[in-house]
Amino acid sequence: MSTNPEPNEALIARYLLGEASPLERAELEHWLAEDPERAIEIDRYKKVLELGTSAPSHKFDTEKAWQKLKPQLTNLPTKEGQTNKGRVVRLALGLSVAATLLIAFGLFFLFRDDPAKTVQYVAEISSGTTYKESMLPDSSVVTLKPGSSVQYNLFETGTERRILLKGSARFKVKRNESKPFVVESQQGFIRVLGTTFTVETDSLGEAMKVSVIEGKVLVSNTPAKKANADSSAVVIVPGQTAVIGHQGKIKVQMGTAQALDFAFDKTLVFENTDLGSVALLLGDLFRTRITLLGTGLENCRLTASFKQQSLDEILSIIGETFGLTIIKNGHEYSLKGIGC
Amino acid sequence: MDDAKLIEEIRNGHTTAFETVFRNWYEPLCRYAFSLLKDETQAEEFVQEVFVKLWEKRLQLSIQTSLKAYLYRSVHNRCLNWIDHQKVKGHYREDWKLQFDEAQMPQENAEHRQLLHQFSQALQRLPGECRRIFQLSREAGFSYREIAETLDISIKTVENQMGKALKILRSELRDYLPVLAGLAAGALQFLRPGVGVIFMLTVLM
Repeated sequence: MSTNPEPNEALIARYLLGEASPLERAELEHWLAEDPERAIEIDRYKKVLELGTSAPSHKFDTEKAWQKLKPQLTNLPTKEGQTNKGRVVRLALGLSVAATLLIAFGLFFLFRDDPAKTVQYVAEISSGTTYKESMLPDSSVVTLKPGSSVQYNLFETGTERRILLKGSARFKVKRNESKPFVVESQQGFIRVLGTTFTVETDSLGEAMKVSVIEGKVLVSNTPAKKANADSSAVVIVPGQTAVIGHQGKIKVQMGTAQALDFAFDKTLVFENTDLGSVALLLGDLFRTRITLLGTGLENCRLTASFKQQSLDEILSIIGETFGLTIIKNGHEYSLKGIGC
Repeated sequence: MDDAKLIEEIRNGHTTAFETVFRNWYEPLCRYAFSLLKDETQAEEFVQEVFVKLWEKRLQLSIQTSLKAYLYRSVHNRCLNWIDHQKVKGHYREDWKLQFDEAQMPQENAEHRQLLHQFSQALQRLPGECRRIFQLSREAGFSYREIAETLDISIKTVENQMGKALKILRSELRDYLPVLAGLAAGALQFLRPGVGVIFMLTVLM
């Protein structure tokens, strides 16, 4: 009598294709050895697998295809600038870099306040699976969230520094008042002179969120400097978040900037923030509850920045700053002390 | 040259590295595209499109899998998008039957031709995912892991679907496979040399 159960087809397939584990293999071979009929049955399965490799198929001419494809390969990677209407202007592959830049420069110069103008981006930085911080040629620093990229053209356009963002990034822009720094995403435009701000776009291209860490930022749905009849624009300052929806409507939200920055790279910046707000925000961000025990704790104001720190680390720094005791009760926390 | 080096060279604009990849994979990719589309011209067009895109987007190239899985996946997605689109337009027929070009049939005896013909018919009747997994394994020579990466499914699914394919095909060919042993000596000449030897050994066992 067989001690091994009859193998199912999935196991037989694994066995015949060399995907079975040594144990499975040994068991199956033992099962086979028990009855010569079984080997014949296994052979039928083997034949089915073999037929899969020997089925006649069409022949395809690699050489002919290569000769057809070869002329399409130029050394110029194609970069596509987008108009604000989402149309993609694609330049012929064969154009040289010089000609491309010349046209981009010309278009930009001619139509520099025209919303339909096209920018030719000349270089690109992409993050892989980790955060990537890079310095741009104008000394601005961009930090890309994993899976994001920027294309840029910082000099040739003459009047502006232009960036095309896909994904999410934080920019620390080197101040240059004669050359505004303009970030374009699928949803809108961000225009600054020299500030630090975070931009997050969702992968579906539906919304763009901008929060300011330092300075002022103009967020608009048009690349033009001056808003016209069918465009809208807002100026936001630290602590504010501007959200552009897919129809170009811009909303300004208060107090959500820290959550956005935290979502970006676990950075938290508090600027003279009362401890009550700090506790609430930390509670939200770390999905827990933080209560203040003791009178006058709300009067304490925190100025600090945290990067990639755990809640325990952040609370212990706050505790040390204000002389508070941290009490951990399960997943919840209490801060106890005399206050400020 | 390994994948990482080839990708690096392509990213740096070396057409020779790109040509190596093209020559290596063009035909197998076309065969796979053809198995999905049943349209030779369209299959070649999509595979070429995937290669042109690979070149154009080389700066953004981020391949987490093997180059082979990446290429098959790109071709696979392109073809399935097209099929979906054709379905929407009502142009795609699920009941399409693979018609062999007689000239491309192996010049072998009638029984083997009959078996191949039955096999191809049975293969076409397999459910879509099941058939694609079987074809990636057998026609493209993919490991289970490579199939999982290409189709973005779990290895467990690959195992189950391969079992299912084997079960269905075995059952559909039941009237043709029993004669196998009697045919064995004659069958050896149809099989590839390596396969033939294994087959002979099994028969002799």
